[in-house]
Amino acid sequence: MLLNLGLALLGTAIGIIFGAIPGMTATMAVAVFLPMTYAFQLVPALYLLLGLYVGGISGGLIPAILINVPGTPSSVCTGFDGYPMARRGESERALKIGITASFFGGIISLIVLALLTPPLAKMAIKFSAIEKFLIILFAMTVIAALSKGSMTKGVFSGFLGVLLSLVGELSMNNRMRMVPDFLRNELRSGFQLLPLLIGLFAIAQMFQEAEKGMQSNNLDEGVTVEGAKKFSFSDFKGQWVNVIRSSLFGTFMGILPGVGGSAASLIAYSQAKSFSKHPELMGKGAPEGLIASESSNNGLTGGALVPLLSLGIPGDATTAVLIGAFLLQGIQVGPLFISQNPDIWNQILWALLACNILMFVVMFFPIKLISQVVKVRSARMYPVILLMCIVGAYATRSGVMFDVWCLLIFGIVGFVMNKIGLPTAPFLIGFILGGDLEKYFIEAVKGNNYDLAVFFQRPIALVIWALIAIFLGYSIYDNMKGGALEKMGVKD
Amino acid sequence: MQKFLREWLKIRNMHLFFPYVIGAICVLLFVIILIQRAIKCKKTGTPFINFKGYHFFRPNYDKVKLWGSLILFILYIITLPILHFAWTSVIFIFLFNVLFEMKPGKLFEFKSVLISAVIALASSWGVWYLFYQVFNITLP
Repeated sequence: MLLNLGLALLGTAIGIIFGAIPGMTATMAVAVFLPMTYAFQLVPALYLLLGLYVGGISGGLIPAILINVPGTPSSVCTGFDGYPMARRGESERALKIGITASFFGGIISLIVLALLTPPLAKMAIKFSAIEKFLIILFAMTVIAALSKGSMTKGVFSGFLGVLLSLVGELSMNNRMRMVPDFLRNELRSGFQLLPLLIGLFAIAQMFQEAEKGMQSNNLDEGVTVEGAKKFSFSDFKGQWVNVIRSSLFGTFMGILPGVGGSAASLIAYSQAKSFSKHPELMGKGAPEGLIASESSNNGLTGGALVPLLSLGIPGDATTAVLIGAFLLQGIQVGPLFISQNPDIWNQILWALLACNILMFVVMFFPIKLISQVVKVRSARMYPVILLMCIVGAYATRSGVMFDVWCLLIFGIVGFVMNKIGLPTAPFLIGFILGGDLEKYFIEAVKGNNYDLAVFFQRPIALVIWALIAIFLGYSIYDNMKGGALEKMGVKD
Repeated sequence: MQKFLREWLKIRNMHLFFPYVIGAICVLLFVIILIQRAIKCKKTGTPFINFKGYHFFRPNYDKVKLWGSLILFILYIITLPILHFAWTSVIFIFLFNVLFEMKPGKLFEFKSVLISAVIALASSWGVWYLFYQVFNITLP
C-alpha cells in the first residue's frame, strides 16, 4: 500500500510538472512513463499512471493563470479569467480556486465512474460479436463527429489507424499481410502500440517545439504568485451548482470517445456564462469561469475511464495510452474486466481517489514553490524525455531495434499529421480498435451464414445504428455550420 | 453479397478481406476530402493547388534545432547498438541539450555547456541504473 501511495505521489508530482510546462501534456507524461511499469504489477503501475494523468491535467492551470498560456489543451479556458485575476494581484487566490475546483471535478467524476461503469459492463457482457463490432463502429463515428475542423479528416485519420493495425499476421489463418519481405520478422505481430503512441505524442511534440526554437516562458511584469487578496473557501459560496454542472459536463465529454479536455472546458465555460448572473464579468477575472474550466477538465479523468473499463474503448488519448499498461500485464479491458478483476477495479477507484487528494495536497499548500515549475526550460526536459522514450520503445519486445526506428518514424508521422491538420487521437484509437473491429466482423458474418442483414436484426444493434445516425447527422449539421467546437477554439 | 463474403472469408483469403475494405474506405475518404477542398476553393475563388505563400513549416522556424534534432536522433539510433547504452546516451543527450539551448549569435556559453554535461551524465547513468539494474529491463 505504501509503495502504491508513493508511486501515486511520484506520478502526481511529475504529472503536475508535465502539465505546467506548455507543450507537454498528460498524454505525453503517461506515454513516457509507461515503460517504467514493466517493472511493476498492474496495480502499482496504475497508481503511477493515474497520478500522472490527474497531475498532468491539473498542472495545466499554473501557466494558464500565471502567463496566460494553457499548459495543456484542457486548460484552454482557465486563463480567460485566471490571467486577469493574476494581473490584478490575485494569483494565489486564482491558483487555489483552480486547484480546489480541479479536486471537486475529479471527485465527482470518480463517483460517476464508480456508479456507471459496472451496470454498463453488465449490459455489455450480453453483447455478441455483432454488437461489439457496432460499438466500435459507433466509437469511431463519435470520434469523427467531434473531430475539430473536419469530420471527414477525423474519419480518414481513424481508418488510417485501423489500416495500420492490420499490418502483420492474422491469427485466424496465420497469414501475413501488408508486410515487405525484408521486415517479415520485425512485423510478424504488426506495429507495436508503445513506439507508436510515444512517437505520436512525445517525439512529434519534441519536433514541434524544436521548430519553434524551444522557447522558454517567463512571468509577465506585474504578475507574482503572492497577492493581496487571499483565497478563502467562501470563494465557492454560490458556486456549487456551477461546480457540479461543470464537473458533470466534463465527465460526460470524457465518456464520449475521442473528445478532448479542451472541448469539455469550452462547453462548461460557455454553460457557466449562460447561467451566470453577471456574464459581463466573465473573461475579466470572474472566479466562476475559472471554476467551470477547471472542474470540467478534471471531470474528464473519471469519465474517460468509463468506456475504457466497461467496453474496452478509450475515452480520450490518455486513456488510449493507459490501455498499454493493461496490455503489458496481459489483461484485457472490456465488459468482462470488472467481473474477472474485481480487486483491480476497486484499486482503480482507490487510486483515482488517492491521486486527486494528493494532487490537491501537492498543489494547494506549497503553491508558491509549485508555481516555479512554469519556469522550467523545456529545452532541458526534452533530451531526458527522449532518453525515456528510447528505453520504452526498445523494451517493448525486450530488445528489438526496429521498434526504436518506429518511434522516430511515428514521431515524424505525428509531426506531419499536425501540420496537415489530421487529428492524431482518432488515428491512435483506430489503431487500438482496428484488430477487434476485424475480428468481430469476421466472427459475426461467419457465425450468421455470411449474411450482412444480421447487423440490422437485433434490437441492441438497431439502437446502436440509431446512435450512429444521430452522431453522423449532428456532425454533418455541425460541419455545415462551420464546426461549433472549431469556432470555440478547440485545439486537441 | 453472401456469395462474395463466403468466398473472401475463406481461410485462405480471410487475411486480405479487411485490408482491402479499409484501404478502399481510406481512398474513398481521401477523394471526399479532395472534393470538399475543391468546393471550398470554388466558393472562395482560391486555386485548388496553391504553392505560392504556402509554408509547410511555420514562418522563420528554427531550422538548426528542427533538422539538428532529426539528424541527432538518427545518429543516436545508429550508434546505440554499437556503443554501450549509457555512454551513447551521455554523448547524445549532451548534444541534444547543447542544440536545444543554442541561442542565435551565441553558439556556446560555458555555463550552459556545463549544465548540459551534468544533465547528460546524470540522466543517462540514472536511467541506465534504474531500468537496467533496479528494474532488470533490457537496454541496447
